[in-house]
Amino acid sequence: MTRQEITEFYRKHNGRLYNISLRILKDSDEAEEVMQDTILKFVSSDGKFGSEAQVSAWLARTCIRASIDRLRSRKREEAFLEDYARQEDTEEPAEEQLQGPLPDVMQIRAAMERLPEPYRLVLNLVLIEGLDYGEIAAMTGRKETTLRSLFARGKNKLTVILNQI
Amino acid sequence: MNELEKYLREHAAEFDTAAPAEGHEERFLARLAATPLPRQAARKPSRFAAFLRTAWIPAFACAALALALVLIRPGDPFRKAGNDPEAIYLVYMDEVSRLYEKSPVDDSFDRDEAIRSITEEQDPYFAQLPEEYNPRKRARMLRSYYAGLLALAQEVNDSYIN
Repeated sequence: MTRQEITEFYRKHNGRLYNISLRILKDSDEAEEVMQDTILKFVSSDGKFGSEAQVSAWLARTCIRASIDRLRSRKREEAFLEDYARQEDTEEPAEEQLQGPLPDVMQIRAAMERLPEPYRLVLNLVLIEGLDYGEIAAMTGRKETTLRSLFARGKNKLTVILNQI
Repeated sequence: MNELEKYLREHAAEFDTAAPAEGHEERFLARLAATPLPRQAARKPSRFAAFLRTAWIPAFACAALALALVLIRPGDPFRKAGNDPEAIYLVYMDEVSRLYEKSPVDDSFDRDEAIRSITEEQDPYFAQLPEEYNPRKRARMLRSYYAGLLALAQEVNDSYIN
């Protein structure tokens, strides 16, 4: 890749990668750094990728992994995924239902911001990034059952917040 | 999957609305300048390339020697005869005479007969070649033919000596 090609590549992918990282880290400086790390990692590797979709998928997963690694190394959260799952009731909660019309994207995003970190992370990865539980388990080192539990509870908490709006 | 979940999955792309802080591209380009890229990074040469770099001189010398041996052919009795058919035939006759001189320990009659049957020509080969063949082609054919006869006679002679 020439310098010009790299610049064009950056302009094409920086927005999406930045948002992926920002949703996980909630810190714009760190998200920018992770986004740039991801693109630099790609352009400085000699890897051969087939389609544009494969490139895009590789970038997204690399960015998610790097963001999760940062999140864990921060130690801001005293309890990470497993601990949260343990603190909650062992029984799965009944599914909350939305009252009223579907909120728009802005409202949902604002509601997700209010979720505790582990729920927000799992909801993001499953619903927005489209990862399956197996992939998330590999990235976070957590059990799939834990992730499913966090997802179900997170979705309920999100619904409760949205119902309050 | 409930309604909210379905809605989120369908509108996932709409969540990508945030933009990095101003100057992010300049910061990226600064980082890029300090990052070794595949083409810029010094690549470790392959083992084969390294071998070629160190071995080309001996390889060239071997090739030159092989070429010289092919051209000069030190063991070729026809070397001095050039492309003259008659000269080639004379060389052949000289070589046959030398074979006879290598007398075996015992009676040489059988050996002489065997060599004679191989080497003697009623109608010399060089006289049978078509006139339209150019001298080089005639010389090549003669050398090849008489070299074959000499090799066979030599083999017979050796079998008697041993």
